[in-house]
Amino acid sequence: MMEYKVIINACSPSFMSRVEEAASFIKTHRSVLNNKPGTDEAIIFYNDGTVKELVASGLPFQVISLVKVKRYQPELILNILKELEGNRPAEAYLFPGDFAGNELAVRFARRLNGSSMVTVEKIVLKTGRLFGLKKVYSGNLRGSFLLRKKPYCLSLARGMRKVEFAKSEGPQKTVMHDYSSLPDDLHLAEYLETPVPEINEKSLEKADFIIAVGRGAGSGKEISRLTNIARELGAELGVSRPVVMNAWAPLDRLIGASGAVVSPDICLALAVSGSPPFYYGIEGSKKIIAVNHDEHAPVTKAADLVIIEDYKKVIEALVKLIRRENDV
Amino acid sequence: MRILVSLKIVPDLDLLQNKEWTIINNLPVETGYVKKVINTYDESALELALKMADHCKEKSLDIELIALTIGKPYAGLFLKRLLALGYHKTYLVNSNLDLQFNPDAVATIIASFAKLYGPLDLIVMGMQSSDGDNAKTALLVAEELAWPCITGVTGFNYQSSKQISVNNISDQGLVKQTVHAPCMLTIGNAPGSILRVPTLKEIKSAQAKEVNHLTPEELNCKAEDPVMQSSAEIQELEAIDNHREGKIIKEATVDEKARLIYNNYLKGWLNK
Repeated sequence: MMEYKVIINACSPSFMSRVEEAASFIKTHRSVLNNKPGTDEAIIFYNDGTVKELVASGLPFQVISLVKVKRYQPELILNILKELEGNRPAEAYLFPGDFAGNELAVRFARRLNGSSMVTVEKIVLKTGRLFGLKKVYSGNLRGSFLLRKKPYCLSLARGMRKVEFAKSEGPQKTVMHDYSSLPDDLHLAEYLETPVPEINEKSLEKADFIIAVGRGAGSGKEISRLTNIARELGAELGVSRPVVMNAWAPLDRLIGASGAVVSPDICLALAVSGSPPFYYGIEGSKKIIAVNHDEHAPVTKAADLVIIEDYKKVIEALVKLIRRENDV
Repeated sequence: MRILVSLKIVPDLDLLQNKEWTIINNLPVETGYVKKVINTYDESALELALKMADHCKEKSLDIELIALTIGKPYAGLFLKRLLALGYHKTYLVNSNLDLQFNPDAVATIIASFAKLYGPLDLIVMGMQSSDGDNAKTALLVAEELAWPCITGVTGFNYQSSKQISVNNISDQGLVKQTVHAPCMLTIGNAPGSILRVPTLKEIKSAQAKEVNHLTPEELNCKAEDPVMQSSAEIQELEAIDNHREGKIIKEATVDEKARLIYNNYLKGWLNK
């Protein structure tokens, strides 16, 4: 059983989703992560006053260090973390699996001479030794790793099935720190941040119906056509990495290990081979319907319904049928 | 400006069938027979550096591109291709060490190269490789060199002889920043960064250029050094079962297939 802390970047608009993921991980690993009752602790970096309201409305932590910064900037955050935690580190630090979590986990562990792993799905304690499990070989296999040195700094795999978390009962202890007047790190000459519109941020991860398209679509023009079809059907369009790399679709449409991890009721996968990095992004779907002309594509083994056909013919017939049935 | 791009040659895992992953009794998995490719994120790093070199060439600015990989002799063929594409120097650190799940050792070797063959202004590499999936190497190199590190980079360019402009994706959104050298950049999904192909003329003119060979020992890196030990040590591998009881529909008309999808899945959802 280990004493641990959660470290979260609340400069991000996805802050609450990351809190939910961390809470789910903690809940499913209570036998390992067993702080004394009432001492679940989080360090939250923020630069926006609304975070205080969210904290006041209840988070699943009893002790919260709220650290105000000018902006999320890894070099500064690492220095602050070292100052706050360096003298008496916890045995383990959990970071959400976002950009911030992945980079901080590795670099913070190195600074404290500990061990790190990113995108950890599960941890197991055996005879006092901690093992972390994660996908390797592009998601084809799962590896079990022995973490050799404390503190263990782990970033969590995204898309973990979210479980209801109990908001902290009773008084929360909140400790405020203000580092917002610290100057930027010396290496930075200029900095401009353009927030991604909230609609993009959330549309894929919150969608109930997703049409996922692979490189078989063949062109940007076809992706535009499918985007319109998705809109008409009330679905969100997501794409695989080759589609983005060919610049047929914008990056915020990317599904997979390095993009959005989705969990819709229905995922209609068109011309998707089902390679593990892409499947990672859709495996949380309740139902997966694959339409592919190749009956040997990996996706045929990992879908609930597999239609062997040219997807263009099927989607055309499907749209006609839906229009007819709904008198449009 | 001197730029180092560190790359990894990996097996093309897309060529492996599902069933080939099921017989796992030992470590590491045997992928020696699988065709080799440049790791996809490293390929983007290589192309983005070439784009920056194109810009510098147009403006008659000094730039030196260096490519480094650690691995077996066949990696030299990929480095030859990079020489044809315009990389000025390439280095192959010949190693029989099992480094796939040891980003600490890889980072130590790269950082040591940077110290001995520097000064460098920029190190660029992919965010992770497709076989190890460690996603740690670049971050560890940055820590070893005490350099800043920007992740999620989608593009970068020459700003001045000691400054680089960088575009990256972060949890906050899209970021445009100008940073002082030296700096580490890790490349994630960078649209439009598929590595260019050398022309026959470029290949021919690079034939006389040599790949430089090194050993970890020449870079003062010994396998038994504590810094060469991974902080997270691989113990075992297991197969992942994604199997769903998929019903396969092949012999039916297109309309029947569309009707099946509609009746069984979409109708209920659309009427919700």
